[in-house]
Amino acid sequence: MRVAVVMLGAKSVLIYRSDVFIGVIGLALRVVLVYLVWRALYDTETSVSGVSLNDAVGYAILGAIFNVTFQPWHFSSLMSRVYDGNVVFDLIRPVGLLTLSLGQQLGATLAGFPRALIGIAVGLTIQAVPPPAGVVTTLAFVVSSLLGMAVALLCNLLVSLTAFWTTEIYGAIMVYHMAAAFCSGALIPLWFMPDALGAVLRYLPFSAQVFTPLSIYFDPSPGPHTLAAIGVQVAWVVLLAYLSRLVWKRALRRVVINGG
Amino acid sequence: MLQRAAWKASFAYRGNTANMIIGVAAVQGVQLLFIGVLLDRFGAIAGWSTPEIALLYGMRLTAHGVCTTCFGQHAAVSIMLREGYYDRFLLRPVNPFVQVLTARFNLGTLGDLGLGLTILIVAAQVAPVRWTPVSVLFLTAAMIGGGLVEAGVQIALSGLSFRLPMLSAKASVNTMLTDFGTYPMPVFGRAGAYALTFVLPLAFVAYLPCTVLLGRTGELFVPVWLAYGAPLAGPALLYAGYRFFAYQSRHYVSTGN
Repeated sequence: MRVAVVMLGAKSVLIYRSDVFIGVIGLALRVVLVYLVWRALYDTETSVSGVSLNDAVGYAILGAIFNVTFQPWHFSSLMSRVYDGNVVFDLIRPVGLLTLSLGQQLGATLAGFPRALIGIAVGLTIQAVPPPAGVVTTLAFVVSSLLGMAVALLCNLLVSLTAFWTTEIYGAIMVYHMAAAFCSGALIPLWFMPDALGAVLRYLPFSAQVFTPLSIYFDPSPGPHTLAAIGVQVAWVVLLAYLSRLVWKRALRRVVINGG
Repeated sequence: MLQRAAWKASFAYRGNTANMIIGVAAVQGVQLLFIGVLLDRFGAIAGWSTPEIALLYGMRLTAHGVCTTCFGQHAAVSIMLREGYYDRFLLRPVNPFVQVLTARFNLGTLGDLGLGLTILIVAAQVAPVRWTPVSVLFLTAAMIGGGLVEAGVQIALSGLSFRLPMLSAKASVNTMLTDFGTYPMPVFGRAGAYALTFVLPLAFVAYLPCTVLLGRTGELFVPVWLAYGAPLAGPALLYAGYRFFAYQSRHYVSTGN
């Protein structure tokens, strides 16, 4: 049954064929434009802040792809369900609301994977994204990306849950969405941020969404520090999962049903 | 009158007003932060200094604000079609297009305009431009024209949703305009600059008039008169967008509720 929820989440995205099609073209175009912008930024320099042109361009492209895949605008139907009261029907379903909501999100995110892979393929083809350094790096990158996805999904869930306290949260969502895009290093690698800012951002869960997997990808010599970075991601997943349980328990008490 | 009613309806909820304006300001604020960090690290973008980029950014955002405050509702067309609201518009004796635009007022758009004007005013003082009545007039015309260019493109895309169910496609064009409208066109190379001038008329929104103000028309890939005439592209594109929308609307099929 849980698998069915995930499948439905994926279906709700894939059913709009023209949307999917334009989404793929849009992402491919974005890859090319990001490539051009960063090339122009480096101009004649070969290395800025110790980062080579090739790494910066590759990072920017993968960052853009992670951004559209993990940090979508509409990440949960939970808010509108709370807003119009339909959440009561979700509450009496045999699957818990948290599972339901997470399952849908997971499905919708997985539905974006083919598009992301096409984006990466375009990047590799125009040689804007360097191929991964080796088997270990590739493996670590994949594991870390999946953990990054889990962190992103849980963060999104937490934001959605605030709908139980405030009715209109689209403003808050926009703030969260943009903050996540910036703080996770999806727009600019944390390497380029002013030192103090970069240091702070490394301690927030956002960097575990995008920056951690990408810095593993561009790390020439993976080692114990790679495992440590993945360990931090696991810690975030556990912590955020616990937190959403906690918030959910309190949210349940907030549900007020108007009329019947 | 319809627009006024929509304004009133939206302003009735003050908490939401503040909420949405802050939300929209955050979207643009992050973009600003992004450019800020880049300029901090790289010093200049394609030879454009920080004040020059700031002026370009202010112009782009103000034009975007003009578009969203006046024509922002185009974004809701696909939802209106899907949920069947459009049926109601056809029953009323007012042009359905006007009804679409005035169905609701998205308060967040005031955040766009406010932030855009603020940045524009600050940038205008530090950018190397000699302000004369003529250049101020040109800037004003360019901002309105730029807003209309964006509106024309968006309305044409909205027209497509009569034929194809689209939800996120328009949003992706929108973010494309936001994310790449703030760079000088030479960044994209010759082919890219042509594409962003003639296929997606992004250059007309802010870049072309900005080169005129900054005296940078020397770097243009297109004839100089196109830069001077950029404000006129707005009304033309808006009209074209509207015609396309009206034409596509004949293909409207109700969802049946």
